[in-house]
Amino acid sequence: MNDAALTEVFMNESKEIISNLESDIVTLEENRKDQEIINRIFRYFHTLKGSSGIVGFKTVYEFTHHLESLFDKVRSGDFDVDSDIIDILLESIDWIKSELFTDVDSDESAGKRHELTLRINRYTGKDAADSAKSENFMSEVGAYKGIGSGERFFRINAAFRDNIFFSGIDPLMIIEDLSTLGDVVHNNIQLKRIPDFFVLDPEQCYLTWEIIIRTACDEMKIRDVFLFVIDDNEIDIENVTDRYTDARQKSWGTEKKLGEILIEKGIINDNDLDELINLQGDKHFRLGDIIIQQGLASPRQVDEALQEQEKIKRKIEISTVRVESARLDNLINLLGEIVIGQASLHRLAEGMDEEESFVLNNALYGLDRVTREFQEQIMSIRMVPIGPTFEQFKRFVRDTARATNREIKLKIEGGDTELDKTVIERIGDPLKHMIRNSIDHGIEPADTRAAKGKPAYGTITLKAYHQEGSVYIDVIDDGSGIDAEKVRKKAVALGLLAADAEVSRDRVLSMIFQPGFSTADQVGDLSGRGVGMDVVKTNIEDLRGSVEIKTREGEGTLIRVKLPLTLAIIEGMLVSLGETILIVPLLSVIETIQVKQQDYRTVEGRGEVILVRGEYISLIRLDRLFGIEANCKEPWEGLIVIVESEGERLGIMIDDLIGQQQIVIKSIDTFITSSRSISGATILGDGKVALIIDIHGLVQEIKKY
Amino acid sequence: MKLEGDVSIKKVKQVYSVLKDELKSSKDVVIDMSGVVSIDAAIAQVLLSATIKAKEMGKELRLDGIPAGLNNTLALAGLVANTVQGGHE
Repeated sequence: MNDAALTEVFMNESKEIISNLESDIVTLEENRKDQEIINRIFRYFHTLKGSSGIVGFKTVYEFTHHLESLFDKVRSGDFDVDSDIIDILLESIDWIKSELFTDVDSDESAGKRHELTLRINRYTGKDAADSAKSENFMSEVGAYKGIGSGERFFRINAAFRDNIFFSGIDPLMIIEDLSTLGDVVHNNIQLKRIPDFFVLDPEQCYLTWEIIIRTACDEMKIRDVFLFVIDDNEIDIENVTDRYTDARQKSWGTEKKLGEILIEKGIINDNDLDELINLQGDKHFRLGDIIIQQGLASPRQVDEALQEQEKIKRKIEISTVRVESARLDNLINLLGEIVIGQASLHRLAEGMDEEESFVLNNALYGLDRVTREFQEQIMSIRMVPIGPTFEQFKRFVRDTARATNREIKLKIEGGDTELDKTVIERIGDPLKHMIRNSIDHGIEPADTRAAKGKPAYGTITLKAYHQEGSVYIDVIDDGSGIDAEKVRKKAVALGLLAADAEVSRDRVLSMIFQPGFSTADQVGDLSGRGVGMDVVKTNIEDLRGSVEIKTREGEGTLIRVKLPLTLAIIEGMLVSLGETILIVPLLSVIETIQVKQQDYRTVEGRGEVILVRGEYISLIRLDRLFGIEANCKEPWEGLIVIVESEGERLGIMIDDLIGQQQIVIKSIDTFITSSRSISGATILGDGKVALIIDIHGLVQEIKKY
Repeated sequence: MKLEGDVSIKKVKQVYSVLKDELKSSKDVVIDMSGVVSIDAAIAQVLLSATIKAKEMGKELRLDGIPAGLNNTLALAGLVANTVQGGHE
């Protein structure tokens, strides 16, 4: 991996870590003694520090080291989390974010870092003088006496390469990290390696530490500290617990495994092992030592077996693999090609005689099944839980609530609900705006709430769930609700609604999604500028989703977003109009009917309509809309596909129904069509391109006329 | 001499140069550490080497006003007296 690729991986990982940190810190503010969160925050800082060092973000590396030290003390119970620590943490996160992801003013940034470091040091330095770890290093004898169950001793020899100072990694910080894992009982810096002061090259590293640490951690944890330097520096880690403990404390169970490993490797056999165990008798000698003494294996072979034993103990389980999202997109594209190929084969089969067609169709049946399963698997890889997206709003709600002098709790439900990664990536901004609206326009100040008999703190709930092949996200607040009459007046004033228009309450409420609409009496810092909810709606519609609003005055508001599970593949209905094949997303299709001539009429103000079971439905002629030559000129000559969007039904005139199949959506550039009625295209089995109708866009487009 | 803020590899040449002059010209060298926020291994190494040199020259190099938060770091770097066990393998 080259430096740029490494930095990119680091940036992506950092974003994730920072988002998790923000969420955890806000949660910690409410549950200040939650050890699990405290440990997790410590680990996040530790990871961030390590990886920032390796990619050369030295200031971030150094700064996160302070944060890690702070949290080490918190998790050790040296002091409790207070609101000042929460502020320091969140401000520190902001500093890291700006340092990593924005062009920062270096002086300003350094100033802030200094200020934060001093604030952190006030905590970490508070009890430093009394800390056993800081100054009062225990003697080896003292450590030996003090050993408890589960504690180990490790000897670490760390000789750092001479040019390490230029790699962004500070050896001293690594040694400090190590010291946080336990008690340093012996610290020896080999001064012999350091040249005479007057001929010293101060930019070269001559430092070698020999450290013995008493710790409850296992070797892996010790190795983790050196993770980023172990390959190109001389780092030797040895478990020397035996030398500090009574031989009788040793575990026989693991020693036996050593014998088993050597048998598996063919170095010794069962009989040898029996004899060796006899030799051990009750003297508790180490099996490895006896094997070497007996000349059954070389020290190197025993060493290797011991290493393997350690690996077994670690039980390393690789349960996840991080994959570049572009690779998943490629997989989807390739799958699309397979689907197209299959469609070609089906088409071929249609042209064959019955016997040949039977054989091919039979073979294709099996292929179809596997392809569908393959597709489900790939799609499942693309599905990611919405939880982390929700979690990132914790910080936002906290800060926004503070800025508006409100008390607000964010409740998250259904965080494990999965959505296509593309949808997840694009839903954040609309959700943020909806939450901002809830805070700015919905949740009342504490005193107002108290006067209404509500709890002083408002609650915003983010709730996700699957229903009928779609994903729903509800943004619910228990605020003041929306005054429909006020919305109506505003809509009339803006000319969006006629003063005497008889429209439903839902329709009135939907006005808030109109461009330029705001009922805020004053333009606030957050919202009320009249931009936002229309953008929210457009963004959601771009995701082939929809948004609706429900409100009860005085009780609260619910904004419900409906989204497709995936954007990559849909079930589509293939229909023909003359020589053109179009695709109607099956999710929008209610039914396909034939109408009688007497059920067709023209209504003033609505245009052409058809009567379906007592209900008049607007008729859409796609041939006229898209300029296509259709075979059927009148509604009763062909078929009508009844579709639904946002509760509105439309009848689309088609010549014929071809069938239904899975459609791999290919995006099309706006220079090909800017029509909102087209959401994309697909390639059919015969290689022809078919356009996919965007039902929602179609409804919007029709309304314009 | 006085060190301040984040003293790291970026300032190591400067610190080294001043220390060299101090060691040559002064009897004892006192470094005011009270304004130090952090130090790194490069600076620690220079201070350590200077401490040894000062001893060899029959002088004393003393770190004064060490902030409490720096104690552990300096101890691990062998710069706090009772933990300098280096050089005696």
